[in-house]
Amino acid sequence: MKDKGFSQILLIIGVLAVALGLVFYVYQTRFTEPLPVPPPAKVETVDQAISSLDGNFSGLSVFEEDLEVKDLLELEKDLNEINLSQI
Amino acid sequence: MRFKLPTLFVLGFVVLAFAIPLTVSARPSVLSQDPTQGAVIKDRLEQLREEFKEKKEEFLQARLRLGPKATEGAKKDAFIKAKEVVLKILDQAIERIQNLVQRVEKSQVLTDERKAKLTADLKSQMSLLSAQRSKVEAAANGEELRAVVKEARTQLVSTREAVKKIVAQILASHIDGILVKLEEIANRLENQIANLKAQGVDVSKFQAQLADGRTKITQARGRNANGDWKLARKRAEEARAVFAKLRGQIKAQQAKLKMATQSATPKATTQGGAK
Repeated sequence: MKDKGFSQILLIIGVLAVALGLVFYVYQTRFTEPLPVPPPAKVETVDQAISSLDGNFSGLSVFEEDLEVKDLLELEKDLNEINLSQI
Repeated sequence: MRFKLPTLFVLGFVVLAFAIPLTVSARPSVLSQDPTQGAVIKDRLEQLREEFKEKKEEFLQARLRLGPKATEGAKKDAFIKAKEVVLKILDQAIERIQNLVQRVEKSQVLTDERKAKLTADLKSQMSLLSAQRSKVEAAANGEELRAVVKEARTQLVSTREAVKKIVAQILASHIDGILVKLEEIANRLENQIANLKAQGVDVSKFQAQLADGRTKITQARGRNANGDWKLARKRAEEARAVFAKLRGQIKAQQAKLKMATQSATPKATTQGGAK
């Protein structure tokens, strides 16, 4: 008798879980955006490859400026300028 | 507790029933994807520079109050302000290197191995500067501060040299990346020239231009390996210009061939029809 009652409770929980699963499934499939499909990899044309090099050359300019380490030189100058003689 | 067969059946059903929504929910949703790629790097250098200028001004004011009759309070104030100025200088140097670390990590040209090596070198410089910063903070009097500042000066010089070397390596890697791209372009142009040749076009002029471009790539590679980045870049840009011009000529030739084919096709059809 006790076992039968337990089975009924489990059955109710099961039915509720299936209902919940169905609701969730419908929500997922109908009300959310589909996963984005990655676009096929584009093969760059020769013209595009030549044009894209402009961007690469501009990128070099940033590092060329960095190479001069002007800001670090300025910091050295700042440190040298501090007069601590009377401190 | 012993379960009878129907109970076990219901239990299995419940487990399955819960598994369905769990499986469905495990599917990644578009909404859960982070649209922002990578954290936004906040550049604090400018802010630190402004703070340094303020502290320097405060220190200069405090220093004006020093003299033979300066009070202990004025001396202490000038000492504290001097420490703050030195700390701001070191903070700027540390931030500058931190900035470079982030750029190295974001680089699409450097290999992971290279990135790891450069990042480790930069972080080592940051540690040295941080150690110097701690010493400045710990200085108890003017004499100690002067000694620490002397060390900090030497440290800044060696940091600048180290950063210069690291940036040079990054630059060389970027130029190498450009040269690889140029090689690929040269190979594709070579194929296009071969196609034209197969169609009976005289391609000797094109081949000479291609060879010229390739020579410039070789020269750029040599200069890059020797650390002459300016000339390496110049040669690479020249190679790019040669290839751009060559590509234009190839396109013109391809268009000519296409037009010739199109004008020949109706003629052939007409002739075929007359027969």
